[in-house]
This record gives sequence, C-alpha cells and structure tokens, in this order.
Amino acid sequence: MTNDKHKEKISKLITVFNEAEKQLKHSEHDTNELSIPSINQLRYVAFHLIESFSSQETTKIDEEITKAINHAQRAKYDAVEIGIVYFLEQIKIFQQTYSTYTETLEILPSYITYLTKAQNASDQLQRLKDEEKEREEYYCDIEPFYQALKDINTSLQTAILLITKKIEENNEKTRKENKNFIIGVGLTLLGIAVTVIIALK
Amino acid sequence: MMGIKFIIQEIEMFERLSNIIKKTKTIPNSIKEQKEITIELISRYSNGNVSLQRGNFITKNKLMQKEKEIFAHRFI
Repeated sequence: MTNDKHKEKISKLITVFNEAEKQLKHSEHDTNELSIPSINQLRYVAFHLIESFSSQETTKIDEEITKAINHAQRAKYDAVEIGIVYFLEQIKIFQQTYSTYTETLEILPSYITYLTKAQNASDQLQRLKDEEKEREEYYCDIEPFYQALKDINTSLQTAILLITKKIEENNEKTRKENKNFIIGVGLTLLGIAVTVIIALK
Repeated sequence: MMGIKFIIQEIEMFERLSNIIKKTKTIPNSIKEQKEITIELISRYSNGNVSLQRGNFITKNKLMQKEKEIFAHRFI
C-alpha cells in the first residue's frame, strides 16, 4: 500500500477529494441545500478506501483507489450541476415575476444578455446530458457556467429592491398624472354643464 | 362640425379615464421578509451542516425533476 505508484494515486485522491469538498460547500452556501448525490459519492470514496486498506493484493489496492478517485470526481461534478440548476431556477423565477415590468430593463440594461446566457447554459446542460459524455469532459464543459450564472443571479437578486422602488415611484407619478387628468375631466364637464345651462336660459 | 369634434374628444377622454381606472400596476410580492433574511444569514455562516439540520437538501430525483422543468422553460 505504500509503494510509489499508490502514493501518487493517494495524492491525487487527496487533491480531488479536497476539490469536491470545497465545491460541495460552495454549492451548499449558494443554494442553501445540501447535495445528497455528492454526499453519497463521498461515502463511496470512504467505502473503496476501506476496501483498499483491507486488501493485500497490489492490483486490488490500485483498483480500489482508482474507484475512490472516480467517486470523488463525481461528487465534485454533482455539486457543480446542482449549483447550475439552482441558479437557472432562480433566474426563471425572476423572469416570470419581473419580465413584464419596463422598470426591469431600466434597472438592468443587460437583462436580455443575462437571459441569453441562461438559455445558452440550459441548452448546453441539456445537450451534454443527452450526449452522455465522459464525466471529466462533461465537467470541463459545464463548470464555467457555475460562476457566470451565480453572477447573473446575484445581479438579479440585488436588482429586486431597486425595481420595486422604481415601480413604486412610477406608480406614484402615474397616480399624480391621473389625479390631474381627472380634475381636468371634471372641470371640462362642469364647463359643458354651465354652457348648456346658459344656452337654455 | 365643431360639435362632432368636441364629442369625439370627450369620448376619447372617457376612454382614457376608463383605462386608468382599469389598469393599476401592482408590486410583486417576492421580497423576503427582513426577519427571514436574518435567519438565513445566521444559519449560513454558523458551524455544522446547517442545511441538513434545517431539512434543506436535494436528492437525485428532486434534481432530475428540477432539470426537467428548466429544460422545458425558455429564457428567450
């Protein structure tokens, strides 16, 4: 278990495990949900490590460590995927709530670009799932979307208060305009009534 | 002729008036309560598996369901 080949693999396992743990924490903080698929993958890592400890055969040890590395990688991919799906979901909710307001574009001039990026990410994720690529390749393709979608989601969530404030301001402005208009209508009707009365006399 | 023009103007004015009465923008009620945000922040930055303690976790089936809904949605 302590030969150089195994040491190298264990070193890789430590690196991948740490990355997976880090990504799992990031996703948990960002989505406020713990990823059960990732946790399960990390459990499998422990299982294969225990298997390697209990074996005396070099081939078997090597095999088990390789399996442990694969599960640690899978834990990382699953955590990334969960984050991406969460951000897309949040963007979808924002879109359904605020897209009809002109104030949204006033506060977020890049809103259309954000939605385009979200659509691209969604299309890419769907395509990759359909293609059933190798997990490593799949991860490399979807990983960049994580931070991009997180940034978009942060912008949208930050804009909510500003949009609401703007809507309130515009509503107030419209209310004032309407009030003046209604007074105008009232005065006109009064004018008509007075004219009719004078004409009838 | 002047009378007809005046009546048309009056009709337009009443149409606008009815539109104003009918259309009122409502503010979306999606902003979280301040208290809720405070709880959220405290739990996020305290120690331990807070998400799991609070029952917030995502399973494989739930993830697949979410993906299905996202793929069916058009952002643009």
